[in-house]
Amino acid sequence: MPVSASLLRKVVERTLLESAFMMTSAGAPGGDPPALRVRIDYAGPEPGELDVACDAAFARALAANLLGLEPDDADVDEAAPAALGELSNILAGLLVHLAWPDAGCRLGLPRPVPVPADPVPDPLLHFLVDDAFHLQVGVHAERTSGAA
Amino acid sequence: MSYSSLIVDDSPIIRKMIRRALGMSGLDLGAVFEAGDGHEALTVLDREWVDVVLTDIHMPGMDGVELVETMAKDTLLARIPVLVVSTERDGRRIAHLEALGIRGYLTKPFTPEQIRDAVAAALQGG
Repeated sequence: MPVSASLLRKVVERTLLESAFMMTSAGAPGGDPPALRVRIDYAGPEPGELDVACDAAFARALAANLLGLEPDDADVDEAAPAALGELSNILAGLLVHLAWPDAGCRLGLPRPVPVPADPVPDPLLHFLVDDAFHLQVGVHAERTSGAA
Repeated sequence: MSYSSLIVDDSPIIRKMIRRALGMSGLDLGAVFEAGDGHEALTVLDREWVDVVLTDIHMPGMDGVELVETMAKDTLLARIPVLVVSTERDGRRIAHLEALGIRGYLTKPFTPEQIRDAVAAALQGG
């Protein structure tokens, strides 16, 4: 099954709810420019790359939720990049499982990507998380069904 | 009676996530130990009494599969229930681990309820 926008949306919604107790809704381009961006490769029937970008506030909230810390805890800022990396790993794992359940796809390691000063050029799905934070998730693959 | 647990994962964030899920599970848990890979886990197991092990698969150094294999060969360690918590869903690897005697396999994302049910089942079977 190629990666569709609806599948990607389902993956993000489920992962954020179950891992970080965060609610997502369809968002629109806007808000602060992404402050953090991570990519992770996956190998399988249709190899590709998951691309995750977010604003600083989301990264901090994600780290706080994953670690069970208060948002203003001193450890949250330091943990935010790693938290986004872990999120991308979980997203990629669930994505390849739902897209190709019998294929046994392998994941690469999450790698930070420099965030350009201009808006992220590649078409990504936009999410509004907890009615406050902006998250963008996309897939770069050989064949997609409009993951944007 | 409270149970002690060992969380094995190279990611400090994942270790904290699992620790948090265990804390929210309602289980009567005592000490929670952590290790960054299989070697560290064996050091903890040599030093502390552990009732249940939760381990990732992919870790630098000794990975989760080798940890499970090593524990299975030891008379005492083989009696400790092991749960695997991983993003991986490879059926062949899961079957291999189950043949080695793991008590459960949880995939990420997981909920506190799933952790609770898996740990409770593993402790009952021990």
